[in-house]
Amino acid sequence: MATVTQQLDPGAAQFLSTAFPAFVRTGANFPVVGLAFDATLDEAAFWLIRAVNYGSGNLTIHTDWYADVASTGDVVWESKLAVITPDTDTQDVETKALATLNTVTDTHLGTVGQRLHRAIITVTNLDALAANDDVWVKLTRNAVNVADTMAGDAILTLATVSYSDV
Amino acid sequence: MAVRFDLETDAYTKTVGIPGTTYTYTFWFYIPVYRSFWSGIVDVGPVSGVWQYFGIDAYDANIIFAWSANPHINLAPSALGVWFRGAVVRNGTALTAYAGQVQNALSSNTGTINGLTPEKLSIGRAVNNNEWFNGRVAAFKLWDAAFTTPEVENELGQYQPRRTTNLLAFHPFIGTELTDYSGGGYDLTASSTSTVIEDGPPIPWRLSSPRLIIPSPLPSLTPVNPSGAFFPFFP
Repeated sequence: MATVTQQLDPGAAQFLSTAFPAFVRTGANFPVVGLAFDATLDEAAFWLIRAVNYGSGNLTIHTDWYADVASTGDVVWESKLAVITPDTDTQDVETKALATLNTVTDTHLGTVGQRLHRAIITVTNLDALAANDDVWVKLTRNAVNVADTMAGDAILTLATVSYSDV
Repeated sequence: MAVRFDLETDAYTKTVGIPGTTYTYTFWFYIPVYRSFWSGIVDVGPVSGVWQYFGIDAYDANIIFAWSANPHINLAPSALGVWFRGAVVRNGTALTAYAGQVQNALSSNTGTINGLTPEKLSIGRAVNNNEWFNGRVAAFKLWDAAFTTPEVENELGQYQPRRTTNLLAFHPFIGTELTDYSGGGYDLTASSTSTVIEDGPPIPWRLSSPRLIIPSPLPSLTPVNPSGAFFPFFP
């Protein structure tokens, strides 16, 4: 039994034509690139992965982020999947709907505003996921949620999707 | 991110790294508000007397390419508050210009322009008149080669240049910087007023697949050397 991990590079994210995070690059001594998710509007990024060697169980999404300006407050991260089995599912890929969301609320740990945090979303709504399916992963900062209280952007530096191969 | 121009004196310019009469440039632009005049967004042209710019005709809200001794050619209707793709391919006197909203196909039009050799690049304003742009520009790339339509479409899909051969300029504008990231060192020069950075277009930095990590069983940790002594295994 092993854990399979797929890295979701912010620089490779795809977006709809509206409500998308801005690509940013900062850093004093090395480039820190990421996606800046707004504090007042829901913004989303997308990646397509193949569930290579997927065995069973939930997916785990690790979301590494930092605050642009705040040093307190909560951020609500939300993920949805859309899963298609090629050659089997007859669903139109261009009109495929996303499954129900899963969320996590991560609290800014304070002390230093731009410290790195890791929020972990357990994705239980798997949209009938099976090995080697194609999976569209949507990651959103649910900024309009009353539980999202952090001011300013939340900047995503890296996300991973992991799952068991048995 | 994207650079926001909102004054005539905001334009970025340079006179180094300028192509001859064969070139392609691609970029994204966003119009928050119309000016009451024509607006030059990008101009690759001679330094005096004439112009050759991609811009906006605010009188009929069209995206245009304009050059001296010709009214202009229309490329596509413009709109406020949405991102557009723009591109120009020149091969001698033959010119093809492209424009299109993010979710729509590119429109194009062609023209025969004067054969003058470019001497200056101006972003945010036409080189030789006061037709400046009030809006955002991002992911500007310039090559001294004439691209096909599929090559143009390809480059508009991401910030990073996909083709590096013939690349003369790469200005992503994701920060308040004038640096040329093409490797040529052809940096821009700011005008007399400063610009700001605003949100950019809905494109990735680069198109690439997620990286897959599948653990595999470790090899033996106890190989034997010729003398018969054990030593740690270093792959």
